[in-house]
Amino acid sequence: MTSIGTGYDLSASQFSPDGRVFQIEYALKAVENSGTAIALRGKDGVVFAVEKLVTSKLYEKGSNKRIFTVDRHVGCAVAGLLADAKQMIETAAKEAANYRNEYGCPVPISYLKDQVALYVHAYTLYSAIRPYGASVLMGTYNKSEGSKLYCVEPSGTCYGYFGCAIGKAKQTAKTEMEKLKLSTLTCRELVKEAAKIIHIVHDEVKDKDFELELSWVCEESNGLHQAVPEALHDEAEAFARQAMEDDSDEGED
Amino acid sequence: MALMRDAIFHSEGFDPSSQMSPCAETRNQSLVAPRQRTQEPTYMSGSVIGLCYENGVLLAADMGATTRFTRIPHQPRILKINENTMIGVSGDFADFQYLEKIIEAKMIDEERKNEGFQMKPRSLYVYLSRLLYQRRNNFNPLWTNIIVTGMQDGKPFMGVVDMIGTAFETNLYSTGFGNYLGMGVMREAVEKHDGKLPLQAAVEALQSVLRVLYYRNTAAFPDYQIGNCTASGVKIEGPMRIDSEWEIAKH
Amino acid sequence: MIADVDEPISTGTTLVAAHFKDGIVIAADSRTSSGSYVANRVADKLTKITDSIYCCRSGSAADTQCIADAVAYHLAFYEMQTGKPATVEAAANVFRNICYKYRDDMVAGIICAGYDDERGGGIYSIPPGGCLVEEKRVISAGSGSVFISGFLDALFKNNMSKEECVDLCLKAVSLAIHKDTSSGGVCRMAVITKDGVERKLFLNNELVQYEG
Repeated sequence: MTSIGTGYDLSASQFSPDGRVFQIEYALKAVENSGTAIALRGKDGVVFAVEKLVTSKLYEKGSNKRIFTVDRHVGCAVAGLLADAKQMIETAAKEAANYRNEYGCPVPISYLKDQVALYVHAYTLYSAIRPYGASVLMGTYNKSEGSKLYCVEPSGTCYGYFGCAIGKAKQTAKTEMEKLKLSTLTCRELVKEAAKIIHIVHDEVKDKDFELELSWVCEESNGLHQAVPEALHDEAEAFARQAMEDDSDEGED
Repeated sequence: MALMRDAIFHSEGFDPSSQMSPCAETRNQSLVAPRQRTQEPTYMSGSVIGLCYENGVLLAADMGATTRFTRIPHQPRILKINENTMIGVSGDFADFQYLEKIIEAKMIDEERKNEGFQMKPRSLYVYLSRLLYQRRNNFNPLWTNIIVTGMQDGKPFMGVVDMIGTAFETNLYSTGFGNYLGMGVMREAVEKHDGKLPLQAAVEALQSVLRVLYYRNTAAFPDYQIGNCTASGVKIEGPMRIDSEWEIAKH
Repeated sequence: MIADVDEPISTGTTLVAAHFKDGIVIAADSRTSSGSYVANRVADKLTKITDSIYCCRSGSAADTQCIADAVAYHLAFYEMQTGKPATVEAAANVFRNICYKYRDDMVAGIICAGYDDERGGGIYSIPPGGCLVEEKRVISAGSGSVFISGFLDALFKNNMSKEECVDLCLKAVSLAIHKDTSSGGVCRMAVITKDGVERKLFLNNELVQYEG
């Protein structure tokens, strides 16, 4: 960041002379301080995985979850300030419920992500408020349209992806994803790959402990967003640890 | 116009005020009388019957809705709410669909938050009783009678809410016509088995009530559903056809 | 009864909607009456909602026109927002919500029918009271329906050809016009398939003639 502190970064309602809104870029920094969250879009659904950093041994297991359900068929994984992310999720959930009431069918994600993006974007326009310090990965699957994956960012932009990562190690995670042929893989296979990526990108030196959160919305879950079955979760975790060990063995050669 | 409105809104009897046009009504009423807000039912569905048995609770209802002149067949009226709750609704069919919608939204919200517990039948029963009572206090009742059933802490539960918010818990009930024709049959079955009514006998009791209703209620349909809630979850079966007996016509 | 200016103008009406192999057919008579006076003898009760969804109106003409306008506006906006055509199911739900909300103030019986890529042909009935019922075969509505619903149930077949279906609807509307004083005039139709909407018109002398 070149022109830090030149006075143009105090409010979201002001551009810098070179056309940037620093408050949004700082919000992105907040996202990058958070544990990594990834989503992979396979041929029969979407898989979410989160590296939930455990900063204190006093926390109860399973608290401060970062994977959410917005409607039965839409799942989300978040990175950034958790409280901010929760409000984005609530907005999405309200929008989804409202749509169901109005039109009698599940909300299409193409519409839902636009509504959430619009809402987030409004927080980048005024001096009295700050932008959202969180990004949301949003995915769904249904038989007729297949799987879909989007990412809503603090700026209010929203792109569609085959695989996406947010948080600390998003670059490394994206590099790992590019090695996979995502559109040919099933969700069962992707759960393992996702677990492996989270283990790979986890920085054991800086962040000691973490919990792996896994969920999916796919053919096997009947188009519902659910935590992956416990057996598969354990299998994926074992697969990831094994892959890590194999890697470090090779390193010693 | 008048014909159609009479047909639809005044099937219970002739109401001379319906001959007046809505515009005339508005004009006159705004000066003379307060606006009438209490609705009238249109498409109505018939009885819902239910009883608690040895290790669960059953609900049964025929499938469809009627006016005095027309019928909509094949409409289910027993809803699975979650793994330990189901409800049966009789009365105005549009109000039933409205209830269906708000309960579904509630359930999605609960699943979504995933806080490790599910709504129990008594909670839903109390919620619905408050909702219906509030609506009647606004002089705009939901024209429905509801039986909420399920497993409450491992025991069969049944709660009844009527359209003005009257609510009570019981072990067997029938809304509508079945209240006159069926309660005796069900009570006899329960008493005969000294509170340990087996499933088969309970189903047979419900079927015989449905049969009598089919014989003696103009609004009844021959297709029905039976919902069964036990410790292992809610299962709704049907549509099934009532087996009725007509040989007596030959005598 | 002599024509009464206070009597609201209403579509006494016969409406028919039927599924066939490639989509749906909707049909209606054209009489709009005020008491016993025919206010419009060539009314069009088949109202366009979106490019591939129509509604058939019965009840108060003022109420149903207003509802149809509101839904058409709503869905035009919806299609812009979502970037794809509305499904018949979604359209029917919008109709239902309005009909249910204003059930004490309006007199409306509506059939919402059309075609969408997700589920093909769709027919939904919103009778007075504001409930919503999907129809998988054939349905009739309006004051004339009592004369023809049995006829339609008896003669309807699944997977009819377009010609068969148009023929059935025409016969039904002709019968209703014959027996129901609140139905009359011509028979208007719309055939809705994945290729779009085809409007048909059968003048009074082209209706099927029945003895009796």
